[in-house]
Amino acid sequence: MTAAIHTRGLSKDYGRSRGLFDLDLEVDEGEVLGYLGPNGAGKTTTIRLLMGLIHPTAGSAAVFGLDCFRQAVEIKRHVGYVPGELPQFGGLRGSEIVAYLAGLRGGVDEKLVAQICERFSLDLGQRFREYSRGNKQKLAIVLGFMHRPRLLILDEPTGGLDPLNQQAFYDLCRETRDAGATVFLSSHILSEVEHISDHVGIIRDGRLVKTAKLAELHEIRFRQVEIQFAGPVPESAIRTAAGVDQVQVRDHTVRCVVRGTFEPLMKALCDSEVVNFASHEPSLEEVFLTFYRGDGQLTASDLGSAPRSP
Amino acid sequence: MFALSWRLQRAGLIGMTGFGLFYGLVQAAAYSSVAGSTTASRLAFGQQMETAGRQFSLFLPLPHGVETIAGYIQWRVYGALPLLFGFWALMSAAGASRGDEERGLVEEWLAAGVGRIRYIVTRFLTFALTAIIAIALTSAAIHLGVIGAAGSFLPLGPVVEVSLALLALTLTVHALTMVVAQFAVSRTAAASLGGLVVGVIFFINSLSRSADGLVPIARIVSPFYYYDLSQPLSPGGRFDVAATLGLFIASIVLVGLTLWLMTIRDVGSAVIQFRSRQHPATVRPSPNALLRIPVLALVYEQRLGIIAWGVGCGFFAFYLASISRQMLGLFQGSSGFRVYLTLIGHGNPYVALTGYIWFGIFLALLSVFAITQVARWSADDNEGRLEMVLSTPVSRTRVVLERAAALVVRMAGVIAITSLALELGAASANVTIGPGSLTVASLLLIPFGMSFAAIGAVLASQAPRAAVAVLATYTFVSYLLTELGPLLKWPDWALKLSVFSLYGNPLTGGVDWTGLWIMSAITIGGFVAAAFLMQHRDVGS
Repeated sequence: MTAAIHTRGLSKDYGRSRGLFDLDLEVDEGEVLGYLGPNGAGKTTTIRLLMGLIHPTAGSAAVFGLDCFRQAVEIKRHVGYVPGELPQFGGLRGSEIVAYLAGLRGGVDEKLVAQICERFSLDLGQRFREYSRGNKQKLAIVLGFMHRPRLLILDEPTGGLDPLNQQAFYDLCRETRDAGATVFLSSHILSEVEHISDHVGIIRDGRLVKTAKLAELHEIRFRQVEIQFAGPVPESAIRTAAGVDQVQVRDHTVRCVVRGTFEPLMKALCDSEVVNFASHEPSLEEVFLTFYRGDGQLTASDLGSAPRSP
Repeated sequence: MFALSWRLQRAGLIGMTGFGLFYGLVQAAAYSSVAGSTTASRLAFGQQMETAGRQFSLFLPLPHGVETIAGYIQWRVYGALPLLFGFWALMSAAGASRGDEERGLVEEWLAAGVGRIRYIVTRFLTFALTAIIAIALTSAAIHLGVIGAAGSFLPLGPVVEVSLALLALTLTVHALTMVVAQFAVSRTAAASLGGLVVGVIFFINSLSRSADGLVPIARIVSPFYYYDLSQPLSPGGRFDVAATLGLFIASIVLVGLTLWLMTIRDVGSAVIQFRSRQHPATVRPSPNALLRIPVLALVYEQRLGIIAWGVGCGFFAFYLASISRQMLGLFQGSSGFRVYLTLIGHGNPYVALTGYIWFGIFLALLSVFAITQVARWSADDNEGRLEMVLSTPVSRTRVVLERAAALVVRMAGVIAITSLALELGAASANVTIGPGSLTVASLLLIPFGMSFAAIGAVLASQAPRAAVAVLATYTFVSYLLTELGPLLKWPDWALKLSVFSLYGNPLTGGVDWTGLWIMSAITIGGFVAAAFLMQHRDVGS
């Protein structure tokens, strides 16, 4: 089966180490890829390369087997694009903007337009300049989804949406995925990615540092543990337990980090009286920050916060 | 905030200074080249210029003492600079008052604790500072140009005085546009409304130069009238301190008025809010078929602009044609010119005069129209709209070709309205312009305007951020070539570098086929090159 997105050594060098470098990425049809990275990491550059808006410095990119630049027009028939912010359309009404872009695109399902608008409570009768930021983003969503694309490229699509509309958007994405579409979701909001993604790619300083299934990403998560003892702390047993790191002892309390299973730690505690045991699973955000700050290895600063009690 | 305001003015400063330097130097060189070096030759030159200068009284003050270089510079340079600096002041004020709001800068500043008074005053003072620098550099360049080209010195005092008058006028136009902009909701609307107001008061003063009845009106409404009162460089001329001071005071009063208007309106809204026509809520795309037809969608979107341009130019054309008999009377004293008009008008000097003056003006207006369209193309790229269009199955070549086709339609609309008005105006003055020759003259305006647009398309495809500035410079230089080339006796090939010279005078002289072929080649070649360049560049950069 042809990959929905396939890049090899894709690079866009803006100089001064800015841009995108050696991106090897493959997104299968029907997959939802969350493309995570902080501002300036290269997410939008990736999208602009996939959309054929900018030329790569090196490497290649293909969508459904079509070259992203040479066959850009053909690709756009199958792609829906939701930018983070719509450009100015001045005095045009929402309905006119939809009609104009539908005219350029062709094959737009007006019933689907109406359904999406109703779902997001968007009035297309208003002028663009009268729209709030959230309504402009809803319009961007309508424009991206209105032709039932095989591939959705979403660039931080929920900016300006309230939580209810964010939820409606996630539902729409899930339904689109269930209908067989591929979704490429660029975001710096991890919970957004967790909502709908099957896979996650983490980009930092223009380089893809990790791609994994969402479940795999959870597996490499660490846990922060705080244990309170009635008596003395079995410090040496804890320090030598497999998978236990960053041990800090204060009075009768121990704080540490545990990777993998709890079994070695539990064995180390079996001869001691434990009065409280709290384990905190870091959010995807903390995992993401680990990749962003370092080279994938945990750092003390990442683990310094106290775990919360359950 | 001052630093940011300064940055926003920087491009304008560089552009205006460049224009001023070029224009001043060229005019100084033109004088020394054409007027000769003897007293007799300069006197003869002065007489010729004073006769010819009456033709330009719509744009320039009536010339006095142009046999001296100081008088010539006063008329030809400091008479034209108000147009240039006035246009800059207008665009800058529209940008400062509504452009900042469109971009959300005003909200940011107000949220950061900057008061509306501080915002307006800072924007105005920043513009004033850039205007002072631009005018000072322009005057210095003119001074040096005169020394270098003519080997003589302009008196320093009058140069400073006329520069002060120019500064006062520039600031007044800026402040006036800021007031007008409070009644608009967008930068484009502010520039259009401001352009209309400034254009009207400019032409009221221009027309008052030949129609005494308009003087009392010009005295009340036109700052250009008060600028004209100071002609310190002309022999026997003087610097009108009261008029200049009055302009400075007027600018301050207008800034005060802007402040008041801004405090009584909502950010993002106009002072007077017209309740927009109630539009029923809908979740359906517009049924308007025009929006779905490629070229017509672009035309439809700019329908109001086309109507505004057509009506504005049409009104002007009607007026000029309707007073062609009176205008010809102005030239009665110059029998040579009347004979010349009769000859080129095939026995009808009125038609010749209409063609000579109106089409001369309309060419300039049409080139500005083309620049405004190129500015939209650049904005489409810079603001992300091109990106949205290219996210649909539309090729870059199609984008360029659609732009060209839509512009042809828009331009044809403006030209059609204007030519109809010209015909009606001429008829009202009992002057018959042959419909055939008017049609030919009108049709030839399309390749003329499209030539500028094609050059702009190349620029917008390659370097959209610089396109407008470069095209405006080319247009200005092109216009100067047409004006100065004959004076400086430049070779024919050099004159042909100006698109203005390619149009010819089809109303009375028939089609200039060479010019037409060159304009067609520029148009086709330009858009083909634009399509090619568009393929090879990154959108949005």
